[in-house]
Amino acid sequence: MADAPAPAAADPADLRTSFRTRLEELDGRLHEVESLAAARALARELVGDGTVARWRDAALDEIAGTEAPAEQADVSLVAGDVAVADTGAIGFAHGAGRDRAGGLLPSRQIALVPASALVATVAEALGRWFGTGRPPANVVFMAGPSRTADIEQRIIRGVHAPRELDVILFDD
Amino acid sequence: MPRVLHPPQHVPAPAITVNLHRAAANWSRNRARAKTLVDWEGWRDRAQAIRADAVAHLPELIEQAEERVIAAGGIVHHAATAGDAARIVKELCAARGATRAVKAKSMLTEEIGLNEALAEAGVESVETDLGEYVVQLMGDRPSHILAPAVHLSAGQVAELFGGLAGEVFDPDDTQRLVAYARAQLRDRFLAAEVGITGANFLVAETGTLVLVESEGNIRLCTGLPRVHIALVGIEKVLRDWEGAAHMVQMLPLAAHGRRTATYHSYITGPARDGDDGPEELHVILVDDGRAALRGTELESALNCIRCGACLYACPVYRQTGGHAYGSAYSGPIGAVITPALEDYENHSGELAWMSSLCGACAEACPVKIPLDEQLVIIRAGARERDPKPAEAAFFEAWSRLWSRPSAYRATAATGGKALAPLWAKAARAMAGASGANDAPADGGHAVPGAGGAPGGTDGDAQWLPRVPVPFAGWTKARDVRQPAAEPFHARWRKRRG
Repeated sequence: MADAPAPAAADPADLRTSFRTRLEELDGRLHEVESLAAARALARELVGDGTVARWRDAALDEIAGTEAPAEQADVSLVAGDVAVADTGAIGFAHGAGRDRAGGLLPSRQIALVPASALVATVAEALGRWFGTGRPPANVVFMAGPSRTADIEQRIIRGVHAPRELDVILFDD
Repeated sequence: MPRVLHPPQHVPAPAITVNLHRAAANWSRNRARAKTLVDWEGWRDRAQAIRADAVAHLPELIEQAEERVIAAGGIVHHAATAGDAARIVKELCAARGATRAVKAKSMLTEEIGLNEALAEAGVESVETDLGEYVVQLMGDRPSHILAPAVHLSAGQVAELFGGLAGEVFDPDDTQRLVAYARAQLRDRFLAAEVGITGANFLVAETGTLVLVESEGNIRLCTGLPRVHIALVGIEKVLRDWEGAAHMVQMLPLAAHGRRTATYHSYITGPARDGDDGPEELHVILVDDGRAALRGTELESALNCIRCGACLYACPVYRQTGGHAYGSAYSGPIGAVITPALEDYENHSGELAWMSSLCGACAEACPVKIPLDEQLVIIRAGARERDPKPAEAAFFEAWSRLWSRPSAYRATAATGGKALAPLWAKAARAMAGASGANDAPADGGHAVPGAGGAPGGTDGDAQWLPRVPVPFAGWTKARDVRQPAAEPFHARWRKRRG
């Protein structure tokens, strides 16, 4: 089969610029911070008084004030395994401690992603799970908040899943 | 399922036209953007090669996909026909005592009439894509592959939701309309025992279903219920994940002019390793006429990735909307695959005449299906089986007559005047039947008011709902516009003085 084009030897700064542009096009917000500690501090600020449904990921410790079940929580707190410069999407696999309901039901969402996870292409990102062995049961790529244009082509956010998405990219 | 008690309200011709033209204009702008984002022709070539390879090796790739889905813990079913596919879903629901299903938009489930079949079996199947939800509540049908409610206005949605909620919704407050649907559907997601989806692709190498969306309803359908049932046309298979990486970008590029949709899900088997997803995954591989197209002149129609581009590009679709085709799939691709899937040897091919053969569809197609050529092939096949000599002689004579400018001018002017009483009579009949505008259009008309109501206005033109034999067939699915009082040629001469 036709081979994937070789990924361009991308400059990390270009990758960041492209990632931001694409994410913002689909109404996601990007915050770039210098450390995990700074990412957690920013996330705490964004959460405010809201109740949180969070994944059991070490990066997400020390953020939530009050936790709540996914159906009742205000904020969904998740972690990205990969970020794609070409599309502005972050990718993650579901599994133990990374529940689907927690990533879908609240109306706001915050995702922490290490800068080392930023890659240029969709193929590179998928290769992380599909390159060797059996992929996880459910891998999701997400490039912004839930949206619809089904009524007269007007863009409305938050039709089923989170209405707001803040991605915090932290240097690691 | 709460259903509204009245049929879809009459849409005057301009409303549907405005909606469709807005959508088509957006699509054109998005397509122009797509061409700035990637090497468009190079991407089309690669997409075409990936799809053609999959279709050429369909039997072995399907076998491999089946093996890998099973290895990942999924269950595979084969449906030779639409009826088989619907029956398998019904049996799966019945065996689990399931009566509540949430459903993501899938053209294949339209093709097989799944909702009707499930309703008969006592399973409440709720559409969760916003446009599809609106269409289902109205008792209507989707009119576009990707935008099922593109023919409806915000006013109609506000009226529908307002009626159900018992309050008044402002059509301009789209956010409020969406919030209402979110709340209604959220309860459905949490209560459903079964989630039903289609799939955009099936990766043979890993047995992975790929689903692309913007709303998040597919993630909810595939994440919350205990059972996930995916209906997959056998042609959706792709050889490997590298090919999938290209196609998951090509699809949104072709449809919306962006390299990604909001959410892409890659599903390999049911939940495992402590994941809270579905305990069971059923993949129903549906043939329903697809395998028979391999090796025919229409084989490349199986390359279709259902992006909807050929619909918006088509000058006929832009005027009529999808309902006029009367089939699950509309637009140029619908005119090709509807007869082809029904019965490749014996189709009537009627839809293939809903085209000007301008080729805009083929040019718009991200996988380079020569749709205009295929429409000609279908027309030729249909005429070979059913030559319709009287009709052919009539058009032949008409064509000869109007090839001569003097004869054209003479007959166009007198013909319009001679036929005028037909429209006058229809207008009188309309004036006599007050309130007729609230009734759905005459049974045979697929699009309520798409051609304007008889006596309705489009400028000052009158529309005729019925013409006498031998031309009665023409008005079975359309109205006829009154010829201009003064033909163009005459007006042009006057204008020039």
